Amino acid sequence: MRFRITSGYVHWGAALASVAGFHVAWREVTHKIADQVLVRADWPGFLDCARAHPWGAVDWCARMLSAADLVWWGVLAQLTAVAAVAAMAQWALRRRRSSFAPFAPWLVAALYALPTLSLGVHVWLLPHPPFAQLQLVWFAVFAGFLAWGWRGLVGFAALQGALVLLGNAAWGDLPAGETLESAWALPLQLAWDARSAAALLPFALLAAAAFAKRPAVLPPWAHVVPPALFAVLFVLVLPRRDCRDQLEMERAVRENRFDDALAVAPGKAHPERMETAWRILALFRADRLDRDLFRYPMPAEYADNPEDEMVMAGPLMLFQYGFVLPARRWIYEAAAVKGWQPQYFRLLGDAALVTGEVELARKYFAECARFPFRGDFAKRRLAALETVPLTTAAFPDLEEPFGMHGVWQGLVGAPGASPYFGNECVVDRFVYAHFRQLSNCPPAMLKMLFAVALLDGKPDVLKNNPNAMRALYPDGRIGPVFLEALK
Amino acid sequence: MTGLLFAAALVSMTPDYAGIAVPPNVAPLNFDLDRDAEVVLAGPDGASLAKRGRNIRFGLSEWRGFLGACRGKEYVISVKPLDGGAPLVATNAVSETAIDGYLTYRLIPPSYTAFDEMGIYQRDLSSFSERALYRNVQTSRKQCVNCHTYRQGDPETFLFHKRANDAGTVIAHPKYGLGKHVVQSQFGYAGRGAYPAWHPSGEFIAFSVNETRQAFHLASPQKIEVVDLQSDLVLYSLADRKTTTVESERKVFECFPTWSPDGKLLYTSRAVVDYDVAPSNETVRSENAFKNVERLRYGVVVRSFDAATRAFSEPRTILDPERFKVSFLFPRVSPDGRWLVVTAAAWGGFPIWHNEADLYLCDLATGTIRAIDEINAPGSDSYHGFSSDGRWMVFSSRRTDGVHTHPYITRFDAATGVFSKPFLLPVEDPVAHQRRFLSYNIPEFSTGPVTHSPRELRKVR
Repeated sequence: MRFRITSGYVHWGAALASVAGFHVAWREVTHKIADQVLVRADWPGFLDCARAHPWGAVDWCARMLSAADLVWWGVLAQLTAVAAVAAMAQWALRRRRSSFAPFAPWLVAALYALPTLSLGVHVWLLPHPPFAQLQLVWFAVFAGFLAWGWRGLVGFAALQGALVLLGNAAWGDLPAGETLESAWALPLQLAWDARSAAALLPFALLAAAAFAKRPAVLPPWAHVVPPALFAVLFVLVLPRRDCRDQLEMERAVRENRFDDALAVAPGKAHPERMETAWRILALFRADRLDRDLFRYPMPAEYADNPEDEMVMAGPLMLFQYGFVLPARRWIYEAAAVKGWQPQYFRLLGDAALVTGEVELARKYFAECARFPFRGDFAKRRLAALETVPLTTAAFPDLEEPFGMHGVWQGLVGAPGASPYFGNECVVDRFVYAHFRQLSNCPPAMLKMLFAVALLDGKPDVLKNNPNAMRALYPDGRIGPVFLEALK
Repeated sequence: MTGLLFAAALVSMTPDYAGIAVPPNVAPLNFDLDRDAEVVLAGPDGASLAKRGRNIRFGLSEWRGFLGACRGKEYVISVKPLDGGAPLVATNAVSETAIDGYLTYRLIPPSYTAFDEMGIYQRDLSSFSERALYRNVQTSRKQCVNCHTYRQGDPETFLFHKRANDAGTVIAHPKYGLGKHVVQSQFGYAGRGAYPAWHPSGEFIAFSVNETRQAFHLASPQKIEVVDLQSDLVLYSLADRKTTTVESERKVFECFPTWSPDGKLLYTSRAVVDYDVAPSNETVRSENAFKNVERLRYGVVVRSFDAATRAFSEPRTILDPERFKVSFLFPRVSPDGRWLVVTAAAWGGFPIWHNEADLYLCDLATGTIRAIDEINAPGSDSYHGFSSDGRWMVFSSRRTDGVHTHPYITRFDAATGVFSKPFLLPVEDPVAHQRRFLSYNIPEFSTGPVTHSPRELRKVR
């Protein structure tokens, strides 16, 4: 077959080059947008939202659109590249006729919404394989729209624009960012929106040129392939239940239903790291840590990317056991690198309460209250802060951290006796870096620390602290369980 | 209990701009109230401003006109809550003398080890304009930048450090141009020029060279401790780009240099330690430093300096830490050479993380020292600097929430050694400080905008 260079190919090359140029030029902004994705990642599922507030369902839908917009931003480079290929294939097939109406894109869109409805928006942001697989949904959506030719492209661009506008409207009250005055936030967003539209524009124009004289007619399989692709992925992803398990455990722990949390996938051979973190927390809160910790399987890959997945579970565990300053430090580090998330403000506010820094707590709760679905909690906290006289009784749910923080303060007493660690240590190595100094701490705390260390892939802390182990388990009954964990 | 009830009855103004001394060229002092109120600012000769609501903001032109009418006089600010609560009435004095027009600071999150974005910014004090001089995200390196310093407020003569990749000190000088200098340690360890002080001639810069470590309290009212494993003192000559040693005793730590206005005296914070500072094991070095940090106290010493020979005298103690049982840090001399303002902490060399840190004023003529109670507050009060004419001082404080550092400005009466009630750096939206989760680091006055563009500063290699 003879290959001819036509003006169409030249246009496509120019379009791809322009898109690539945009991405390079805006990479710094991309970085911040990625941070914002994380900021918006902490959303509950649709049913939770609907139950939480009369307008919860509506709000959830608005944020759902916003999330779609963000997913689009986050994978724009991949999308445009794949969509270009898809569009070229469509262009090559433009002489073929379709036998039925192009319903496929809407089917794809509906399927896309299902897991989000059941699991919450942040199912799309979990950093494990299903997330990457489900991103492909947008490829299918885009390709599906292309089945309508230039009208589809224009419609897709319009849909994206609407998502952007709705998303910005729903999230206009986020923290302004590290260095930008709030007045700059909107121009930046608009510039980004313009850039997104500009990235699509070449496709729209070229598709319009390609389809202007000959109508877009496709074979039946061109309509079927995108939804079929998604359906396969959907079938592959959902049975794994990883997302659902994690979310169910998190919800149960937060509602103090520890038995329910422990009942989630207890026999899974290779649990996710987050699942294990929530399980340890549930065991701890149910006072079953020493008895049952190693009855559950531990993740095989302890040290895989701990900070990403442990970003909340780690500090939360430390906080609940009275390690308030380490928990707070962990959050500060995460916020500096990843950007602010609403649950950061919540935990920092609670930490400030425990340390008696009321003004600081007020500041964090006030910010927390600006986030949808955090408002009720933050307002309760702010109202409790007005209690006169202000005592710990105003915060009954914080009884445990209050108590343990006090115990810990009493143990090490004067600031001079406080252990330190240097900046060479990674954040989440804090705990076991000081095991040798913990010989006086309560036995339950030691168990917790061992659990955290094991979770972090550091079984040597058990071997290196035989005295502490003997103090914990003087009768030696628990020994075989630890040995099993150390295998 | 009584105090709480009383506070609840009064209308609350945030920031507190009542009873202060106001520079005649400062930006509008916008503030937020805890309830709706009628606000009237009444000046002399019928000059007045009136607003209503909670979020009280003044237009730039009306504010400038009002301050112009009040210059050298007073105005009365009255806040009447619409709910009938007790009104707030106070008198603010508008100074005759203007404040230096610009304030430079670094904006960083109050993170502990990790950081992402940071930058050095310059704020026009007569408006709300904030300009980024250097943002690390504008380069591919995202390195730490710090220690920006002017030569007596001269915007054409300044420096700041870049760390990590492409490390060095960016120095701008009318005579020597803009370029990167590397002020190396003379002592065989990894430290480089850190805390700087421009000699008034602009020909020299005194640096302390510090090998620092950071550590974290597990449970304490404090949060962080920063200590030096070693710190020494060097003099850097811009003409020949050479470094000479001023102090290099292993068991003597010197840092935070500052010159007298005539350049004939160099003041520093100085501590003498008695523990082993040079064990072979790196971990033991750090542990030794942190175990002894509560006994680490800095005094203030002074050396005479001969610019012709670059020779220093032996140090003479101005403030003895053992006598006062505190650590004296960040010495700064007023432009008239009479007063020394210093930060005092219970111990250690990094007072910004010490809640008890306060500012003290030493009369160099008489040797007396006092806590500056009129400006100190609970929470760390630390880094400070005078304006070029010595009439104003800016200092860092964590009084708002204990974590985020904000710049406060106060008027200084050099004749009596008394400061006015300080006020928070004004911002357009008065609640912006509450929502900006950043610390203003090292506030430094300058008389004008930096003459080099951010692009020029970024291009320095």
